[in-house]
Amino acid sequence: MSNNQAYLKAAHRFTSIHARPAYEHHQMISEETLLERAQKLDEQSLAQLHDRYYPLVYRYVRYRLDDEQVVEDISSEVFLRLLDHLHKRKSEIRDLRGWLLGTAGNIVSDHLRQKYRRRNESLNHHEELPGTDDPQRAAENREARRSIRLAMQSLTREQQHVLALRFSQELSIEETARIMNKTAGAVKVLQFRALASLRRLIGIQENK
Amino acid sequence: MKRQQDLSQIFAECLQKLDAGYSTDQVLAEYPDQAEQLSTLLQAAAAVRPAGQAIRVPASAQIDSRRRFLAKASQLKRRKGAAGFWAVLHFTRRHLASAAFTLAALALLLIAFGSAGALPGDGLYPVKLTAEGIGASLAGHSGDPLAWETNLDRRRLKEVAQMIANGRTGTVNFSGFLDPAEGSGWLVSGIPLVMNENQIRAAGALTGGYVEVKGNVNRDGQVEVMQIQPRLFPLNGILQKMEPDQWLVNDTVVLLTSDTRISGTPQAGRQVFIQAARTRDAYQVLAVEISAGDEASPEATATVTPTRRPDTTPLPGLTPLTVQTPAPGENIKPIPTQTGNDDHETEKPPDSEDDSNHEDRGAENEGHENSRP
Repeated sequence: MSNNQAYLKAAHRFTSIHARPAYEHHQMISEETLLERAQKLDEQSLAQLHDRYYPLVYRYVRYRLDDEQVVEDISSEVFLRLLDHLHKRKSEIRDLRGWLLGTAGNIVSDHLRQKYRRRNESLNHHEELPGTDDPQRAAENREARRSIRLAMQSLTREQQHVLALRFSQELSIEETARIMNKTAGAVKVLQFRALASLRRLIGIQENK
Repeated sequence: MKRQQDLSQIFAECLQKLDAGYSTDQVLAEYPDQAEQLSTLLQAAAAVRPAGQAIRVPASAQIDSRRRFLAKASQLKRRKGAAGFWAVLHFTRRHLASAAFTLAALALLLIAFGSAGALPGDGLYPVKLTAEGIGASLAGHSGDPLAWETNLDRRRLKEVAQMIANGRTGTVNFSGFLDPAEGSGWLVSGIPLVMNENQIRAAGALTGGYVEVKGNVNRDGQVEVMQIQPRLFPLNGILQKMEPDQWLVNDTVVLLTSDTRISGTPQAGRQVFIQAARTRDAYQVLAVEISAGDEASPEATATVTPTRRPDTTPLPGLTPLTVQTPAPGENIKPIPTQTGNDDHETEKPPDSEDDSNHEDRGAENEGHENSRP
């Protein structure tokens, strides 16, 4: 493998959906600066902030919920709440990613709580999996994913949150710890317990 | 509890190794005593990863959300503007003819100009960076954004070289091409690096590529690396011309490779959002999302097909690498390097066994109880 090929292969692993504007790279405190300008309702800063973090929020919410419309509504709501927070100059946001994902987690949890109260679970909102022409296989995949998602919704809020951060955002332990304001060790334990619980839940469902 | 803590640590290591490309059998072979337990947990982990490809963010959803967000901001601003009108009027009447106001404005301009020579660690350095940002905003990213980035990169390199020449120390952030130094060690655009063994090992994969470095300039005129990774360039614009292996986007030629991830249908005239890496030959497209024509928003920033993010938590014996390289033609004097074995990572406080005995972000996030649905 040539140097270029090895470099590009390594670079692919760093591809993210956050394409920073050119000059932002040269600012060591770009997030703080962006927030500061956004607080003054500077339209360009607000647009950059939204576009930088929307994919992060969307992927998190999509991982936890099936209904596409609900996912879009909640993702948008997160940013509207951010605007309220900035405008009313509530407590300072130290970690924007953490704030956004935490808020998304809370709104998702609220939505799920209301959904269970209404006993309005829809059996029709299934995730369409790409890449298979076999209807039976597609149906089996959908059912499997539905089972897993239902099982995940039985975990504690923190356990759901850590799984979503680790496996939908594919954040490292360190990044997850920073966002959840926990130590790396605590995140490892939380992740372990979440998957151990999930393993039991999936096992219980399969035996029904 | 200690046993569970050990198992959770082992399990986390297993996940890291799987992410790094080890097979499940290889990973379980390293922990024969816990293999049965780990195997079922790894199956559970595999089950919760998104099936098939990574979750794709619809451009239409993002654009719609953005519109709502900016519309609300505009509404808030109008309300704020009305309330502030009288305050501004009062202020203006008091200060309109004030010589002090004029002098303050002149002083600010002088400070901005005076910051041009500031180096990292200087009081005026943030002013310098802010001025660069204002320049970018005023320019509206017109012309060649990649040339703008290259220009700023060149400034950062000169700052580092000047710090070394002046015997200054401090934290720096710069980019360039990574090359091995003559004899031993590594250079980024002629700037010598100090890296630990793990970083050196990772540097092998980055040789010849454009990287970004965060580190500390030490008294020996070297940069002690804290972080090094490939430098990615966002390039958003109109796809002007397409050829099998290269495109013309905003008058910039970018190369496609066999690994380029394309989301959407390439068509001349469409808005594209690209993330590219830089090699000595060219900008190479890593991932690109193409808008579907009428959905395109010229101001939208890139929403490329998401890929797995690398887990930067170091594997046992491996730490993330951070490196610097000189831009072509840069006349920065190379200095012989020595590799170090220092681990620059900080340690976290002792692990806690309890899921919830940590300070939560209650003050920042909406207050909600932890409860099962």
